[in-house]
Amino acid sequence: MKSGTFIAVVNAEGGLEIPAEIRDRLQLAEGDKLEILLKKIRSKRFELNLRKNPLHRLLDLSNLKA
Amino acid sequence: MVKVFIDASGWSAILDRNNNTHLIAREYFQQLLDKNARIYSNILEINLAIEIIKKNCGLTMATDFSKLVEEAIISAKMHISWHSRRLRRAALRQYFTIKDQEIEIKHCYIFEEVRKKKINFIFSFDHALTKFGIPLMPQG
Repeated sequence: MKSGTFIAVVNAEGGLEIPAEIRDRLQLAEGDKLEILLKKIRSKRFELNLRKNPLHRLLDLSNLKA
Repeated sequence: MVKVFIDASGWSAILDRNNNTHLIAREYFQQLLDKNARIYSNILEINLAIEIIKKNCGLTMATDFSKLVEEAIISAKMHISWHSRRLRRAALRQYFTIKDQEIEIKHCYIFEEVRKKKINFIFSFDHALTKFGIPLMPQG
């Protein structure tokens, strides 16, 4: 894995935090250079790409409602 | 990556615990998800599944199923065909050619989509589809 996409929230100081999972999978260390593409989003639609496949919940549904 | 088309009988079997194919359907669906199989369906089969689920499992489950399908479509975890005029023409041509009385128009839609998108097999318990020579899963 050489690239990762995630939703980040700008903090009070204007900084962005890289999630630990992304840091681990990209094996990021101090001094590594990154190319950043920023895209401001308003919709929650993009968050869905980072979640588990919603079809997994169909299996939970059949368990719960029986 | 494996491509699989799920029809109304497949969707309803996954959700309906009173369906005698429920356990095998559920287990097989879990395997497909674990393998990151590419899931296909069409709007006709989804609507039929909603009707069957509402009738057999109640309105709440039918609504939840519909919402999850929407979410899966938006997040690109599922590919839905909305039926173009071209696809309809092809399906009807197929339907008027086939003499077998068991084949319905919905089967021809599925066949055309499977052919066009090079889908590996169909997740279904509708044995009429075997007449197109496309493998049906799960078996047994």
